[in-house]
Amino acid sequence: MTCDISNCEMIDGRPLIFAEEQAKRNQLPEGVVCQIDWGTFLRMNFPDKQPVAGIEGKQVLTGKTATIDSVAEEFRSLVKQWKEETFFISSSTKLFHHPAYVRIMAMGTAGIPLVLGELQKNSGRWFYALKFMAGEKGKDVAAGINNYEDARAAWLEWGYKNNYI
Amino acid sequence: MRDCSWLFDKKWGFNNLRQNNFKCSSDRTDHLPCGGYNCIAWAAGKKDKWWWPSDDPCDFWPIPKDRKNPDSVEQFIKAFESEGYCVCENERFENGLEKVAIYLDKDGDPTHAARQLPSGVWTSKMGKAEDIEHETLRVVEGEIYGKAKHFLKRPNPLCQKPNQLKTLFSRLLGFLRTQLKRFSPTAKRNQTSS
Repeated sequence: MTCDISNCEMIDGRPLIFAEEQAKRNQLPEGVVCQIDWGTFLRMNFPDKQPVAGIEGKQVLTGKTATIDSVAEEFRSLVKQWKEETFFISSSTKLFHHPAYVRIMAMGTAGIPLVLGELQKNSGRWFYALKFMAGEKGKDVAAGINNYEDARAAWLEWGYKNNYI
Repeated sequence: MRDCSWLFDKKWGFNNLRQNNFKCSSDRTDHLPCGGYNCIAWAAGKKDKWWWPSDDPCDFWPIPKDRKNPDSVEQFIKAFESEGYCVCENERFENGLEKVAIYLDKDGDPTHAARQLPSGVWTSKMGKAEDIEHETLRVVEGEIYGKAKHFLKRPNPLCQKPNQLKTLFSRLLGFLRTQLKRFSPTAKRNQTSS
């Protein structure tokens, strides 16, 4: 299933996920291209969330067509590469400066749901990436927390409140 | 015995590993949150945290972090000093002492640490992979960890325990002797006659 978003704006990285959700709800058959009016979609599905207020840092996607699968696929491939190539590395500095990890961080807000998905699985070290990807909004999410469980809970709660999961 | 033959794969870059110069001594820890513990923690004799001087919630550092230059080799030396080690000249085995070696990459950045066991062989936690015991420090040198450049030592805790027990036992014996003298019939007779 693909969603043609060549004429759509990425709103804080969420449309890809919303598109997937909508496609599921409408029970679109696999392979069908869906055209989505994001404003209507947000108003219809999240009437109590005042979507306009939540839209920050609009990002125009310049590619012809992006697919949900391709972003997720690239993410999975980068995670695999990062885990494999840093398996023997102790240095957190080197872990976070590995090219694959940097590429994941460069996904910005669009990659946040995928990173949070990894965090839900207790897989990998994602706090550094999340802090970078969430930018100003996420700078204090796990501030002062120095243990994994509390930091994980704080980021997942933040993700939930901000509609990333 | 655990099978660590997968470490021979050239793609990992541990070119000095041979069938007869190392063995695996633990399970890997990549399934644990934060990767479990790392070589720095293991060199200091700990296996409950990932030791690295960063602000990441996964990382632990036993001393206050240097904000300007957080992962300089000086920070690592200070961290080991806080665990009772002091800098020494070389890796040579000394009876009753426990040594650690800090590895640096070609840029001079710390990458790895290993600890010498009472037998003289070294033990290393290989990132999120297994602990291994290796004959010499050279065995894990290479592209990933660079070279062992700094050495520290402290009295071997394993050697300390018998000494501590001996001290405790001799103190207890001394105490019992004193009490025995105080309450013995001879001592009482002496007290009465005086």
